[in-house]
Amino acid sequence: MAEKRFWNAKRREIALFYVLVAPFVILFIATKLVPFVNGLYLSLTNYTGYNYDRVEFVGVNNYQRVFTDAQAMSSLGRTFLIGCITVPLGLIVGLGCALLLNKARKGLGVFRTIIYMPSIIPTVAAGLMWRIIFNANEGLLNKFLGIFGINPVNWLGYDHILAALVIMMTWGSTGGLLLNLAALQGIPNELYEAAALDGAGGWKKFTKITLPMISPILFFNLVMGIIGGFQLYAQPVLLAPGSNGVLNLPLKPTYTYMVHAYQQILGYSRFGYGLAMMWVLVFIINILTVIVTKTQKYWVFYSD
Amino acid sequence: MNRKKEIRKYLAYAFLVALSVVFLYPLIFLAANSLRPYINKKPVIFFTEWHVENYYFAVAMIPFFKYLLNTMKLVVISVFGSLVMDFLMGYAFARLRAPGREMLFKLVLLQLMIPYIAIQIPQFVWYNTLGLMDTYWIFILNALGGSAYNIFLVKQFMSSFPRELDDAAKVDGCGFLRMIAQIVIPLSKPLYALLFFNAFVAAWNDYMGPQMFLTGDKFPLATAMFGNIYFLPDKPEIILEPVLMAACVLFTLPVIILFFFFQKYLVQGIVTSGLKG
Repeated sequence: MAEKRFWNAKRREIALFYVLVAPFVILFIATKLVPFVNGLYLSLTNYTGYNYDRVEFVGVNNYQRVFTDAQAMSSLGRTFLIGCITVPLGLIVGLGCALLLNKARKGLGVFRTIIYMPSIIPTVAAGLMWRIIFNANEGLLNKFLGIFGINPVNWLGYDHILAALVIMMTWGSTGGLLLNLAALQGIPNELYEAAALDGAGGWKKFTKITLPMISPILFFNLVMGIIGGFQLYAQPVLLAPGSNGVLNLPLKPTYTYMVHAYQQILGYSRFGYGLAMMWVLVFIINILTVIVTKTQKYWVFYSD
Repeated sequence: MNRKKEIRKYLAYAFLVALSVVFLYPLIFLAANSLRPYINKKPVIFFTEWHVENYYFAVAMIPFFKYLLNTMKLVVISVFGSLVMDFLMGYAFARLRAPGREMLFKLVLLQLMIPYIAIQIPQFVWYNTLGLMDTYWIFILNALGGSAYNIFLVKQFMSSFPRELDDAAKVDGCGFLRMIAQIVIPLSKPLYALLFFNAFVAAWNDYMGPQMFLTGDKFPLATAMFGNIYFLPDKPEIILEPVLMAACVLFTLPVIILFFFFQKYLVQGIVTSGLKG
């Protein structure tokens, strides 16, 4: 009798599990897997959004075009370069702020709130705001630099737009702060005490204890940074001249790969080509993520 | 030795104050300039003028409240998906034993690795083909399907609950939904708050999803504000910066207020969900 009830309970548990998870599975297939496969297929065709019933199979043409399209290739290199600047900067800002906050006992809440805030400001609002700050004639930044006798800089012009983009993105890159702080506060104090007994200085404690202990978080932030960095799109467009909204064309130094891809898809209805561009990027992101994951054993320290 | 420590502490505070100014001032600049006269081109560096009428223009020159209502619809869908679907699915993965669970969870992990665009762009092409554009169904289906990141978060959080919890509830003859409502949710308060905040902010800030799946009439604020929408009626090249900034303030304020209310839970949620490693 008791055994029967146990089996009943077990079966009910299994049934409940599948009822709860069913939407995830069904909708994964219907709204993700099917579009995914369809997208792979269409990247091999000349689909433009209107000719679904008579698309022509063009093989790997679209992919060949990605690699021969000078704009796609140069924008890919540019995106990589921008990522090489913004991702490490973001990591350093997030870690630096967390280290400082970890030292502060009084006023921690206030500082934490202020420093974290930029990362929750809607991208669109932040972009519009920075555009006004960067304004050449009356912008805040030039006014500030003027105090030191520096001539007005045309931040949104060809020569400085990249610097402007980096400044804006670094300002908004404090999102990892809470995670970093939680990791720092999770380091057992005994480790530092033991190190102090051994006569370790501040720098040594930082490199031998702090960094290894939070390396899993740094790794996580790095991977997220790489994935996000290659998809960079909104910030350059928001700093771009014109009033076409999402189709504004950024100046060359900030014309990223995703900008080019969205132009193909949303601007020119070149769905097949746009999809091919996207798959190439997804492939590159995955390769890089795998490579970075492989380097884990050299610098990421897992305590358990 | 102690003196050195003291100096280091003051230095840290000095740095923190400087950083706070750097991070906070752009927002103050935004707020201050949303109140300057809209014809005067010179920006102000602090609250010296109070032209509140900019805020009137900000909501009157464009169908602001219509966009806001559209935003709210997307927020409700997103929050529902997160608090109900992600929460229950995460619970199932964490607490219910069933064959095939590990395999299905691999599916969740797999989705975590896929870049956002690899789902959104194929979806755009797919729905475009099906002629399903310009409906909220796309957002509802995405919400019902759950977010891999949130499911993972919930599972991590609930894995630390003691096993006796489920058994105790069963012995008491407590129904499933009652157990969720009366035991699991109260135990997961910081996580619940984190999910709510993330879902709210994600939907509130999202401009690309609506841009792709909806058209002008259904645009939320984020998408509508992406273009420069405030200009002199007969001279579109002259952008009314203070009015635009007023709109930015209106658009940003709810997120900031919410953040103030929720930040205690955000920190707690991050610590207890074991996301720190």
